[in-house]
Amino acid sequence: MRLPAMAKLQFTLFFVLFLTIQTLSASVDTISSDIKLKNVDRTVDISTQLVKVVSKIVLENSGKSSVKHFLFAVEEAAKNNLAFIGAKDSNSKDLRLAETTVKGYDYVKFWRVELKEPLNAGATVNVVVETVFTKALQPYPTAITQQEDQFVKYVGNLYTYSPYYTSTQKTSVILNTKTVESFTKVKPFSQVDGTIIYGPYANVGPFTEKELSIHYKNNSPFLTVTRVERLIEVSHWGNIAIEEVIEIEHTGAKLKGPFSRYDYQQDHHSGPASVRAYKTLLPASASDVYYRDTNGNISTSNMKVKKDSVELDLRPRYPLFGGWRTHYTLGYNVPSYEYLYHSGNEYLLKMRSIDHIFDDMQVDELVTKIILPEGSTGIKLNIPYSVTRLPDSLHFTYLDTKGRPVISFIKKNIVENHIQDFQIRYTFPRLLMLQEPLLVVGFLYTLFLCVIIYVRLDFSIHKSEHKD
Amino acid sequence: MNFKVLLLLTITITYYEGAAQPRAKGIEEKVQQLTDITAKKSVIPLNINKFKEYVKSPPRDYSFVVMFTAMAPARRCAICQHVNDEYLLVANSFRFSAAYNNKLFFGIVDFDEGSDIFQMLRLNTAPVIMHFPAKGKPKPADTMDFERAGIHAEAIAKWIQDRTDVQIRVFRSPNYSAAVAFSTLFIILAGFLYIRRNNLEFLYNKQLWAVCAVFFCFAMVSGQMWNQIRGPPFFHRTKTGPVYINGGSHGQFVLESYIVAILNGAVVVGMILMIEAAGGVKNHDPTRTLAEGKRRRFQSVVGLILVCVFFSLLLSVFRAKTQGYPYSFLFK
Amino acid sequence: MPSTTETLPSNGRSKGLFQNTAGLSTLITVTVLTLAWLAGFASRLFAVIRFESIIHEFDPWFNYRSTAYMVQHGFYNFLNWFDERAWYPLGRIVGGTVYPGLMITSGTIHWILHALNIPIHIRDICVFLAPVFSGLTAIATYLLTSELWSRGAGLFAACFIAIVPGYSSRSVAGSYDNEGIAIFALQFTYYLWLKSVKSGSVFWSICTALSYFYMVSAWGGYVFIINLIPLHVFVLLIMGRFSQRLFVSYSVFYIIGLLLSMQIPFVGFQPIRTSEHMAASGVFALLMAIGALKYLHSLNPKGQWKQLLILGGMLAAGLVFLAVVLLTYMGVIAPWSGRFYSLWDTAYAKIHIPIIASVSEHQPTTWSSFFFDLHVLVCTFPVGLWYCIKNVNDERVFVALYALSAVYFAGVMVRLMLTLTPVVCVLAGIAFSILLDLALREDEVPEQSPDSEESKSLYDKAGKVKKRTLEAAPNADTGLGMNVRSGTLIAFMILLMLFSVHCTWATSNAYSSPSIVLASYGNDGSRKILDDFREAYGWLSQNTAEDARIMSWWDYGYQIAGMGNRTTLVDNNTWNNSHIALVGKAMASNESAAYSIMTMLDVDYVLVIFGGAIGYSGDDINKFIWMVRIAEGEHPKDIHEVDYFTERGEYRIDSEGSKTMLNCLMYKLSYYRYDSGGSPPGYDRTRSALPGNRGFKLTYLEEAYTTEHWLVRIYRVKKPSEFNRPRLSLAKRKISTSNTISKKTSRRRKGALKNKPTVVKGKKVGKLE
Repeated sequence: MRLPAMAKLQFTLFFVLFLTIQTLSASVDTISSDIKLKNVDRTVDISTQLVKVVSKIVLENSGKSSVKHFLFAVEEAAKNNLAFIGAKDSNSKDLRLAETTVKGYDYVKFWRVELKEPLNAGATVNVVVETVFTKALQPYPTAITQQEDQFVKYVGNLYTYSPYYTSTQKTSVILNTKTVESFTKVKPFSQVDGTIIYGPYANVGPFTEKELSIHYKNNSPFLTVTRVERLIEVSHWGNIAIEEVIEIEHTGAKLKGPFSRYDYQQDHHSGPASVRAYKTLLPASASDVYYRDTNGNISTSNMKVKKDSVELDLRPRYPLFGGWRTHYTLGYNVPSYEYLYHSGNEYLLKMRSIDHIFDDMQVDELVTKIILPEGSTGIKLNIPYSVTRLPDSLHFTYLDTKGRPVISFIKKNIVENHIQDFQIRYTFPRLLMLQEPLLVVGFLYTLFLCVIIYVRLDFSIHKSEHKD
Repeated sequence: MNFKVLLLLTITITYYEGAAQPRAKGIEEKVQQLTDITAKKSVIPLNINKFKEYVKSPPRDYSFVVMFTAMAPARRCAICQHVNDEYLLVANSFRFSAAYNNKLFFGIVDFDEGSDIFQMLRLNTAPVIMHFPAKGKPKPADTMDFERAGIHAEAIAKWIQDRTDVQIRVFRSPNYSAAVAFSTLFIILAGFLYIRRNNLEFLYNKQLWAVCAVFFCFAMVSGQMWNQIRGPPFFHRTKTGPVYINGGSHGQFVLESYIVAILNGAVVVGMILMIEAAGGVKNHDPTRTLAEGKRRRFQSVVGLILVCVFFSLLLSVFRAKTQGYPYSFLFK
Repeated sequence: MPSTTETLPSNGRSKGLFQNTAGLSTLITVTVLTLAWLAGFASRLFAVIRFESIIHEFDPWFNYRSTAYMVQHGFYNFLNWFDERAWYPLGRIVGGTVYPGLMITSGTIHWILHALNIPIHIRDICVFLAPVFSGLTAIATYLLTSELWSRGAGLFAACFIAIVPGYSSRSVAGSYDNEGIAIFALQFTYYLWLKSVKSGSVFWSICTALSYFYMVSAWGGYVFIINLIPLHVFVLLIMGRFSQRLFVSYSVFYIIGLLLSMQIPFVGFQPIRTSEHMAASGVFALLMAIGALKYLHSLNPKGQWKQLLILGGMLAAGLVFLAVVLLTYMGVIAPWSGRFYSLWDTAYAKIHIPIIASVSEHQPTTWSSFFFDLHVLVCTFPVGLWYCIKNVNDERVFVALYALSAVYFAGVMVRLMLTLTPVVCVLAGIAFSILLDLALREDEVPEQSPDSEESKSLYDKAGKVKKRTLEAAPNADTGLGMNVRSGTLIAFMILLMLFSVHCTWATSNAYSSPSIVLASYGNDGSRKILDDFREAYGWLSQNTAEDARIMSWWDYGYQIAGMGNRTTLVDNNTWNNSHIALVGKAMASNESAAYSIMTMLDVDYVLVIFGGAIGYSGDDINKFIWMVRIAEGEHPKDIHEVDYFTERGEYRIDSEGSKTMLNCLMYKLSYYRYDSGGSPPGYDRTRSALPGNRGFKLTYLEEAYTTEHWLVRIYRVKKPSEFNRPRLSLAKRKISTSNTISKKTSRRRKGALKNKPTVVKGKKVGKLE
């Protein structure tokens, strides 16, 4: 009785192992020695809670043969914080990226960047690679009192981390503040207001790491959206309902000691690291917005309709200090003609898989659920970046008989750069739209019929009672 | 903690017993006399020199509760009598309780015996119950506050316990008056019925019952119960003259409630008049003469006027009481 | 709203134009009832329109919470639910201590809707339950009244009850409380009871019993039914109106009703063990006895049996009475519980049960609140009563008794206005219908006669009316004449209009604020919402430990549990007076003493309501004196109400205030670092005074959160390691002994050791260790 179970277990284990190996060894690259980085100009923006690195790379092919692609590497320390990576060429065309590995460098993350046209020997090309890291800034000290400023520590690599030889490189770190406790000083460097510029450094070998650590004041909101559940309900009657259940936590330095409303009211600089409110941008056509939590409406919020968007000024019920959490539900409707296209019975839904919550947001987990009209079939989903698709389910609501198909997927560690459209194709026989009205009509008809019959039968019971 | 208190208490007492010997002779004989008097009557009547001797002059090791009152009918102090009864009740139940000791005595000063005591203490009201602690001068809190505590024996006992840690359980001699009244009423009723047994028709007189019921309704609806529980003044006297209607919607005067009852009654009478004029429920067909018709018209017009006028009066009274009430009818 | 009150007569007249058919009258009835339902529903939506769809005040939050629990975990888990979040550390067995009818009702609705794939959140069902049921109540009232008098009267009564403030006060949208559905159950039970008395059929009496069962499951007020119906039977017996119908209906109702009512866990064996229910069984026994005598009588209906019957009846009554008294004396039957007893002895609660007396809705009723809740009905329902008694029959006896008892109870307690309202509507409806009926009909052009036909055919004494229509009216001026009649009509239309506008006004102004969201209106009419309660509860639910224990006064227990989802010490089901007194003591004693209590109850947070900043009068400082009283009731040694008043016996918080007051926990927590709000800074707008004790520090607590308008203040109780003080036990010991000794020294040891108290005090302390 037990053996088979064990066996099954083992088998699955092996299977999984095998799979992983497969996937790993799926794309193995080698570092071609004839690619050089002629010049790298790196800007590290750590003025918000995110770390945005933009490296302008001048790529040189010093070899004989032309190369079609090169490798971009992320050092071990940072690779788990990497949320987004994207590459553009000189005329800002997106370049294809594919994750890959290199024998002997398992601890490093590699991306293979496909160039638009092969780079001939001796030629150079400009490539811009943008990477965004979350949770790379550690609040230090980890707990502050209500009145104190929030200081964070950034630990990164002084040099551009690359598998190739770099001739010259330069790094400018944007802080947006003059109050810097301490920072790595490696000549040549200069500190112009709000930015620290390192370099130029010449002739740095491949995979060189040197710690760059900056300890500075950063009162920008350190809000982490721990979970978003985004529900998109499509109706063919011209309306798409969107509801987002959002859980937010202030992941900056924790609040130490008491909270004093008095101090908080007296001067508005009080609680510099706390978050009173933030702005959420909704599509311009968003209508009847609601903002509530389990206890009902959150009455402290107002809405401005702009020409290209609807701007919500959301104030949580209480200001968010370090370690405090809140959660709410935000819902609105948009007209379907902007997002839903169809030819005959073929439909195409184009919507954002996640929408703007606040500037420089960082989302730990996103669950998007798309509810399609009842009876839609042949559903095909495609998304610009990789997600884990959950098994489809059914959703029942008004007048449903066999339930509406629900497509849902999960994506972890999301930043603004992920605000992109997904596409869903499905077929829906338009006649089905008549089903529900007919249902109502039929129901009412039977109801009236019953009433009529009842009224006819009524009196036989009624009369007898008035005889005393 | 309670235990500690107890312990402490016992210790103190024992200690006191221990230290009792070297006390001035005066105390002991005073206590002796007082105890003797108390043995006779639980409340000690005090005149000026007795008061000076027992209450005012140290040394004392007993606390003294004294009621200053004016019992003489000439004084026409209605409440005095009442307070006096309660006070006696407390004194007696202390006197005959197990907790009885010679640390606490009850005294009474009547204005007509000891008016000079009143002057001495600058009292110009009666009744007043004061507690003279065994040591030190009486504090303001040592004068019982009837407004807040009330004049029930329980209240007095509680107050005493609060001042001097002597706990007194009030023994009210069970009050049979209600039971007696009920039984007599019942007997009278029964006897009456027995006498009238051969024609009990009046019991079936619906008019009678209806009148009783309706009057009961008026009583309740006009808040007599509230009067009975809260005991408001009959009406309020001010410098600008008497006020019959309480300004707030949470209070009312007795007179006011009578007025309201009358207004209600008038409306009801009016309506009944109209109905009767219109033929009544029974539909006994009215004699169809011109005179009859006139009478009925007149009657129903009177009824109508009654209803409208008195209801709008009621409404305006209500409006006067309720802030910001917008509606009124006929009168502002 | 006026629509309903008007529809009636207008229909009454328009009806005449057509030939009168049963169908038409049914149509009119249905229309009017539907309109009444709609009007009633609409008039209860002010709160939802002004604010939102949200549960109101306090108890509804518990009902909502347990409903949600039931919907989530199923009915049986709900019955066995042990709520460890309430009454820490005691907990509360919810299933056995609630009337589950409310939860079951809304749960069933929820279940049905979801079976139909209609995804309505349980909150919305709870919010709109009471308004929906008000419509059902209107229908039940219509049925009841048409049993009593006529369908016209029934329609009037239905329209009245649909909008009368006395009832909508408890059934506005969002006030999700037992009364909302109980009144429907009440009226419906009475209707069925009358039906069964009339027909004497087992079927109807079983229906009565079932409806009674629903009432029992819904509201503690079922005691009113189980005493009123026996009273009715008893009076009928006295009036010599005994009949087989009565016998059958009551005995069936009593037995089945008894058995069913004992199925409710909360009720259990009370129906046979407590005095509140004894009237029913006594009357049952009496009825049996008289039935037996009647039977004997029927064996040979001759001579002196009549005396024997009367004698036997009296004897039986006496026996039953004695038996009940004896049983009560032997303790087999529990005597009247305090709440009921306080209805008879009106001074009782004030002396013995402060916790009952402290509730505002247990106060007696002034005439103005009668008028406020019933308006024109209050001075017209005696007319109905008058005519009910004037031409009495079995069921009118019932309504008379109903009216008299209800009006008495309403006089004693404001909240029992609720039981008075339906009968007032019934009787007023009867009065109006009699009047308008006559005013419209009478010797009139034939158009009107059908109308009379209709209503008349429903009088019990229909026979008498026959003549009226036979004799065609000769000339107008023998009757009332057109002018008088139309005058009457107009006048009463105006009255009804006044009534309806009054109802709307009262409902919207007095009864439609969800007390957890406050609205303040600026002088430019702009509305500002003060959402502090939810702010605080939201903060609690998100930023405190899952099992944190919150200490607050009992009023807020349900809300903290419902919205904050945290453990509370005491809440609005005030079943454990000593526990409440303990909390009151903690609030009333100084900080260190309070700390020892709070550590004893391991409290993590303390929540106080402080209205001083915005002038909110219902805050804790204003309730504080009740805390003191309740605490004093249990701990007379430590808490003395007198200490919290000034020498002159005033209750004030400014520098005049008594020392104890200025240093008790409640005071400190309310005014800690309170320097904002109005000029001068720190001015208390509610008490309109400057707090007497300011700028103090807290040793054992720290401010955890204070809402935007200072309305709710939450403090964290420090752990013993967190403040630099001697360890708790020592601190406590010092304080407690010191003040006890000082008391003793001042009182007990006169003369004895006048000279060396300190030494002795030291010695005592030494001994105490």
